[in-house]
Amino acid sequence: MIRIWHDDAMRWLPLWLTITMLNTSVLLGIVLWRRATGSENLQPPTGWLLIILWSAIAFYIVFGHVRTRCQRLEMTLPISSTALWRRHFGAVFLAGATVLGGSLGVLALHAGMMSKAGRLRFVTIPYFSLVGPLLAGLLLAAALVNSVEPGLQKLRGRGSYWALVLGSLAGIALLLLLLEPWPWASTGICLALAIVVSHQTQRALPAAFRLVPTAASTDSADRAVAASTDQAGNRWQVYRTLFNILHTAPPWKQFTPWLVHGFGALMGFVLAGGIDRWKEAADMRFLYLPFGCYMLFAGTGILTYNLFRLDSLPVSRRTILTVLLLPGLIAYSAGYAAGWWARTTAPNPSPLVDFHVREAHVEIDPHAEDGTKTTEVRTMVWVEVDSSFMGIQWTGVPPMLTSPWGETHEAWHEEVLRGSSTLYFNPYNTTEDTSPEFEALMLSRAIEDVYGRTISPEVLQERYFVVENNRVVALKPELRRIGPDSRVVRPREGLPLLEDYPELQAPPKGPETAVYLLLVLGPWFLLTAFFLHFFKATRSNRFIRGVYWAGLAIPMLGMLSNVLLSVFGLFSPAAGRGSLEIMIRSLGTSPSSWAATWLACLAAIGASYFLALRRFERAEIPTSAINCSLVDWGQED
Amino acid sequence: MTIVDFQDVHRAYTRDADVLAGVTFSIEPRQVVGLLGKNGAGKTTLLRIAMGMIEPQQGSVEVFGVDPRHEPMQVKRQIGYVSEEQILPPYLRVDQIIALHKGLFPTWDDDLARSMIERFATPGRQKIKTLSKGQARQVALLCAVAHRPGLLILDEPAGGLDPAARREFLETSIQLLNESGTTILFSSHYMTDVERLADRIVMLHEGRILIDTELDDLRENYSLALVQPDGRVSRERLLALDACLGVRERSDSLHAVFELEPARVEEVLHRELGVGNARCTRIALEEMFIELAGGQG
Repeated sequence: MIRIWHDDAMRWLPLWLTITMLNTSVLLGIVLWRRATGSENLQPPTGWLLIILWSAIAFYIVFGHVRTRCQRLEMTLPISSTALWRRHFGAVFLAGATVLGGSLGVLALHAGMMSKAGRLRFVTIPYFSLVGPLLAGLLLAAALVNSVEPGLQKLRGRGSYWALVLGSLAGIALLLLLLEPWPWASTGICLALAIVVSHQTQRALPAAFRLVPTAASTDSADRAVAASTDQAGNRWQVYRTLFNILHTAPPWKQFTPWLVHGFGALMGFVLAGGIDRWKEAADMRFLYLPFGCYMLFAGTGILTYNLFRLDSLPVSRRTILTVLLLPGLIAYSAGYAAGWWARTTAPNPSPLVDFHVREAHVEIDPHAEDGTKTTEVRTMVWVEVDSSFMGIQWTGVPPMLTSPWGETHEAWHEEVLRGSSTLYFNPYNTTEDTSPEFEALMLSRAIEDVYGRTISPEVLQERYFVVENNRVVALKPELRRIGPDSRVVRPREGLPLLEDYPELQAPPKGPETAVYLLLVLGPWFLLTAFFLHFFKATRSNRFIRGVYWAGLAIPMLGMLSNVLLSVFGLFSPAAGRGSLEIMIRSLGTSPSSWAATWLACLAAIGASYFLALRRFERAEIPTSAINCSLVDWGQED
Repeated sequence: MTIVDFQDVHRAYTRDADVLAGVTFSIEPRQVVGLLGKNGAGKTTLLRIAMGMIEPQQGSVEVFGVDPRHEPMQVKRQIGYVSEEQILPPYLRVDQIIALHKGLFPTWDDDLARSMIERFATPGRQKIKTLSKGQARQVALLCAVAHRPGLLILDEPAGGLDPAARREFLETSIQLLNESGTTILFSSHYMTDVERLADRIVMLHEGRILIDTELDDLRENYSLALVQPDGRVSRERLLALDACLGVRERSDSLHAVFELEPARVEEVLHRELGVGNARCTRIALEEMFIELAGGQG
């Protein structure tokens, strides 16, 4: 083992460990989220865990510093290429195994947190079925990646290389998944293949590595003459070149804008609720608000890499900032527009008012002295309304729901933050046992308040409720629609209100787009202003990079604190989102308030952009590149 | 009209360490000013201040009569700039770079650009990163001069070039100067280049101007005196003389630079210190640089 710690694959390991652990945390969070919305059993299938952990390894193999087999200095030392190759192979495997260990730690942490939170079923991790196959798969991937161009000191990032890397990683993932029930088999196959590939590669190694050959090309001056004299040098061409200069930055060079703005557009799509077309994910939309700002700001930092190349040219700071930020803004807005379209044109949209009857296990005495928990099955009924029609009570006292005949119940409610006096409540629902007339009255009130259409409680009760012992116990079975193939068609649980009353039109939700744009774009521009404020010749590049990461940490902490607080029951994302949507709806009660909200949001976005511009106009751009990319850290051009 | 005017310019990057500590000088039209100084003397900082890329913490700068920090576009449109480092985007092709500059500078001269491209045989389809260092410098110079700037700022432009490439670079600059009367402010470590190109030199040392003189004046009126140290002569006593600019102690002698002709230096040394055996000669620019900048560092 000749100085394995000096290998590029190992030197940047702390960075990659951090990134992949975060990545694993996010992926596991998404999987658990999906499980949580589907059932109370959070235990993900082993295959999913396998994919999550393999993606950490794959991420490292693709983006980590695995292409450099040895340092140039080492080529001048009396060390055989075989020894150097083995060292690098070992370093890649060791680093990958460490990454895997880190991600397993994250999984264990999540499982522990779930168990501590107590509200959800414990998540177990089948270590035995995961570790062996993944380590063997990693060994095979390291062998395959290192089999390319065995004579070179550093592998060229050509198309064939990437095809092999991505193909290998996908192929191994497929193999591990297919043989997931038989971990010994996948481990054995991968190990055998790794031994064969590494043995063949070692046989092909030359006595010494060589540098990547560079071919000098011959070219005439004609093209340059043409550029100087024939091309118009028009404004759009200048903007295009400025875009190319600023947006061709590490880590992905010419692909950087596609990835940066692609993620920006994706965030726009998610935050506009585009996913709702396929799966109800309204809370996710709320929780990801800080992440949208994070993604946009992350892209901005990466794209400042080449600012120093423009500093001596007569290009105004206003133009440079526009070229820097506008593509991201356009991509995000386009993604948002697509998401909005996907959500609003979704077939079978959820009604804004619904009624549910469900049997549930309810704890009888959660505070029993002997610690035993006894449950009973009870029929729960409730009126559901869109969160923008819920209510906020600031006094901490839940409001009472009353009927003309004197039946009174406490409204369903929850604290927005545990221990606070701000309550999020349903003005049409209660957790107590109620009469069928009361439920019908609440449903009727909800329809009137939401759709502006009056349907009498008697009609609703007659049409939808099955009543036994003066309680609603079910919805009438004839509500199920029979399809043309005689199969039961119930696209969704609840009342077929929109099918029965097609005249019910969803009211506008208020200036939602304006507020959501403000909540993402405003902080993005403010973080950019904060970042640019420190562009001073007196500040080192390392300091400025530190400011960038500190800026990134702000929205990331916002998102993580959201998730952690909700996991531990200290914060309700549904209540948080509901509060926001109630506020948005209240801002759109009249055309004038709608317009005023739009104007105010645009003004606030404009003001934050102007602040960023002012900072940029006063900035002293560093004389060399600041590499803000986490992926390519330390590899300056 | 004065092209560049520095007045009491101060600039520091860290506390209590002024890179520029009160620099004052101005440049008139058609002058070619060579900026000399050791590494870290403040040359690049001064040039970047003239470009409006950083601002002085004290004092004022005017280029073409305006503050470059307040009117950066107006100033930069009239300046051609070649930096010490290669700042052209490495992944752009030469023709794209040229088209960009043509679009940014309204005074772009197609004929001048064409003649330079043909002279350098600039490969238009190649990316900057595939060019040799000399070729990349040529492209940078082409972009800096083809809009016929009123002021050409060159920051160590020939650094790292071989003698032939350096000569080519300088000849192009001189040709431009002759053709259009461009004012040039440049920094260099190559004294032969400075002597070929400049008609005035400004030497910076520890953030201050040590010498600001016409090159001809320097050749005529500056001398180096080699003096044997003894009880009558010491470094301090030499520095106390009016015309003495600097003294460097060597193992067996003291090297003193005077702003006087050799004969007058001998006379002063004899009269003031009683030294009769000093060897006084005219001083070349490179020697001057070593004696002044190197001796006090």
